[in-house]
Amino acid sequence: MAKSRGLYELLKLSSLGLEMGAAVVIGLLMGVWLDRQFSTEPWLTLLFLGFGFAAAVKAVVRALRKGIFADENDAPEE
Amino acid sequence: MSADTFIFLDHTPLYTAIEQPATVEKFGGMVNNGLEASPIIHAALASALLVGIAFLVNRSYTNRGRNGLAPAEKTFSVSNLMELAVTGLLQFMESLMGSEARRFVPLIGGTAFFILFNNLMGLVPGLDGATANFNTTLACALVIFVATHVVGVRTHGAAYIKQFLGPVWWLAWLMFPIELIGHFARILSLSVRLYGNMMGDHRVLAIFLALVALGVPVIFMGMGIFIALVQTFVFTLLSILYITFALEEAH
Repeated sequence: MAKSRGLYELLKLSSLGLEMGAAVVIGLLMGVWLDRQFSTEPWLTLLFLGFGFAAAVKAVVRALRKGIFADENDAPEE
Repeated sequence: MSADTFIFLDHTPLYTAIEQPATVEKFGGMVNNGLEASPIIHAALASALLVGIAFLVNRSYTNRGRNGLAPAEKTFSVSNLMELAVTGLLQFMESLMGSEARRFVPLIGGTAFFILFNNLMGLVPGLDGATANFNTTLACALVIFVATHVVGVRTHGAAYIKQFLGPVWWLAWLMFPIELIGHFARILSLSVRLYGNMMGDHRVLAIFLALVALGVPVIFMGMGIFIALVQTFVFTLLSILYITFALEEAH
């Protein structure tokens, strides 16, 4: 069972890279779209690009918390 | 294909509909204008195959009678194979979701078998998998995305929004767009991963078939079967995880 759990973790973590990139892209596209709506170039683009980066980092933090520390008792406190 | 050469395939039904290159090159050919019927026909074929198998399995169950839970025949049969697959899926889901798993077998199993059949159909010469088209994988990812949020709202009600607002209330304005972007990134990563892997696999196979027609493509067909299985598994695993996240309490 331990071996197959390792495989799940591997596949879960392998999805992380694409999710990070996708978060940045989605943030950028949302920013560009909102800038066009309110004609406030380039501020909302920059803001949402920052949100995208933050979402990417958050995905990593979440995966680490759920994945690696899932079975351990020494999971970091919230 | 030139008009003066008589080719058998030109006169088979549906083939002209499949082969017409009516795609509009938009976003690097990722999105077509709906005139290219190939992925739709192949998705319908895979669905028809699945429905046929479902009828077959259902009939074998009704033939066994009301309490016919034990396998009726000890030989290899479609119904035994499907029973094995669905039981395996249910056990896998229970290991991740716990007691809630049974509710989601139709959704997860439906997408999983649809994707698996399409992935494997892409390896059959003459057929094409619908999952090698971005529209199909985007549709699958959107189904999972909508289902995730429907499940979240139905289990938590209005309190589901707390999952988007982060741990402390004065950071909520910052956390909301971040979480929103994270959720939309899931759609993109689910659909692009499946589409990219299947399309890339088909391209590699096509190129090696054109280079060396004998022997060598077998290696890539073996790799193709492996990729088809792994990508189905990854899509299933991630959709289960997303639904599990929606089910649990706000962090």
